[in-house]
Amino acid sequence: MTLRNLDRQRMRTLLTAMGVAVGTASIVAFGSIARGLWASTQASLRFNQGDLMVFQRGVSADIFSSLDERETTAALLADPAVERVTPALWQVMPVWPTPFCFIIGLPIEEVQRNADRIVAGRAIDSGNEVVLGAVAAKTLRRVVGEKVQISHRVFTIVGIFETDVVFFNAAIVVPLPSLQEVCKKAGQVTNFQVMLKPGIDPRNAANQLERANAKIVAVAGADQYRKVDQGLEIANSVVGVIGFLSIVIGGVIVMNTMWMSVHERTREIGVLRALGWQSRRIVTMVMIEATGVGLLAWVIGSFGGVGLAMLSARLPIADQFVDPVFDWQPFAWAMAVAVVLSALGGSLPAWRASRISPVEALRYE
Amino acid sequence: MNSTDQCHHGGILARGLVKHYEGGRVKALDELDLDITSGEFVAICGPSGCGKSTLLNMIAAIDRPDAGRIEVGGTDLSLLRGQAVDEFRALAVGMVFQLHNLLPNLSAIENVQVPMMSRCDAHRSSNRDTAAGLLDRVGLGDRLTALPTTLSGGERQRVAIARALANQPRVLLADEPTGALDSKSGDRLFDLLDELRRERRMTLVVVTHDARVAARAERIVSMVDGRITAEPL
Repeated sequence: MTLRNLDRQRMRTLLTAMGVAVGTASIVAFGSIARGLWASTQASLRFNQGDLMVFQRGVSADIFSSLDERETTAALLADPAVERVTPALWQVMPVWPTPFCFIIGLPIEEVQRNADRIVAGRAIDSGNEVVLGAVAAKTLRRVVGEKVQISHRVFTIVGIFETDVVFFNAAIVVPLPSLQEVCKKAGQVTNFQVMLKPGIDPRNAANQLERANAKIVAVAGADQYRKVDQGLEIANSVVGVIGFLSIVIGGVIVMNTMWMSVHERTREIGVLRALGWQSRRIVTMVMIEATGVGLLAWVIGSFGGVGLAMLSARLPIADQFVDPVFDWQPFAWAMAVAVVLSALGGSLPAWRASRISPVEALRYE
Repeated sequence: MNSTDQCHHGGILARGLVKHYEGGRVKALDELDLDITSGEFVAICGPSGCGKSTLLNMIAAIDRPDAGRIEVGGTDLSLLRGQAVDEFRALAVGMVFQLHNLLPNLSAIENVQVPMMSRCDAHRSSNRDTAAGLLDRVGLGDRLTALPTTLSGGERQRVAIARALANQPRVLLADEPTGALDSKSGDRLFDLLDELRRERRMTLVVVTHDARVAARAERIVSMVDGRITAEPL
């Protein structure tokens, strides 16, 4: 009966659901992008079999971290839990034709250690060679064998690589000394990837390293990344704000529709009351209808959100850091919001419907 | 015969019923007394606005008097509250409205099942069988899945009668059931109502302003200005 009521005003049901779906689509789109950022961060921490990453303490964003390469390497290797460390210099610089490009400086032997990620060409052998992430190659429109200029130096592209870290794929990997020279940051690095000895708990090791070295913070999981960067927190906050706004706006839309629906069916509801339907059954009927609209909005919004997120991942610049992950979480958030706003939007009309007097309703034209 | 005996099964007893509308300016019922024996066929006649429908609504427990007492089937309606009122409406009485009041998006058989849903056993397949049997009994066995918009006026009223009988009530109430029908269809509908009353030993109370229709009842109760004026045999 509830489905028939929704079906009777098919276009109105659809338009209402689409209004609500804007909110649920936003949640799915931003949620999956936030999940993608989270997954990429987690993958970057585990890249090259790493257990944790070390940055300068007190920076506002990871890219601003600056550590002395030799001094910090020695300090980290002094810890008995640490097996090996890999320094990295991160830079964002203009590289024609893009206004900015992510550039990672790594020791040549580290690039060679990850040669299995090269999908075209080979790994770096000398200081004048670079490898490009697959997204960077597309953005810069370069292939193996061509040249790329970074600041005043020209490098030869010897390979293209692919990883499961979206912002690595958008990067140019340069030999560390060469990038330090280009950026005039001799002996300086952004961070270290730390490989621990077998059986050592990364979180305990991170705490131990921070206690021993006042200048550093150690990140052992994506949930700890806020120590050096608020990006993930901001992304999650954006999803939260969108969810809240969706509840408010969607709730009002559902309430308007259900109020109209109850108003139009005053006489029918009066007949049901006259035939012995209890108030709570009328309330249930209206609430189920409202929830039906919410669930329809969730389905439409889920498809829309997936489309939006996939479109975002293909946009220029955004493709360098957007790689949405469509796991269950964004869809669950969107469903929760759809159900909550349906309950909110349907409750007042349901209460009104339950208060309809059968005698007055039967007189209603 | 005392009032309790009289009200057993489908008897109706009303004493001193008073009902005002519009803040007391309109008096719909004025100290009305009425006795209807179980199984009786009574027509309540009178001009528009004399209080016929108000009286019927009170028997059906969808309206309450400002003063007075009404018993249906031995149940004092003034004592019923909340869920008990809903149960009374669903089980004790069947109501046929003037304009059928079928739910437009439900088929004939689904409309007949609506009162059964109030018994919270809406999914029993026996409900569908019962509804189909009732529609067959009122001559609509071949129109089970028809929507109200595809039925004629007489057919819609027959669906409404089947719906009123869904929970096997002891009292069947009909408010101007032939008001929107031509005389031939109206006569056939009254024949059906009377047949069903006899078959099911129900009390049948019909409100009408049509004297020709009223003449078919066992007893006519005439009303003017909220009072019963005459009860010709």
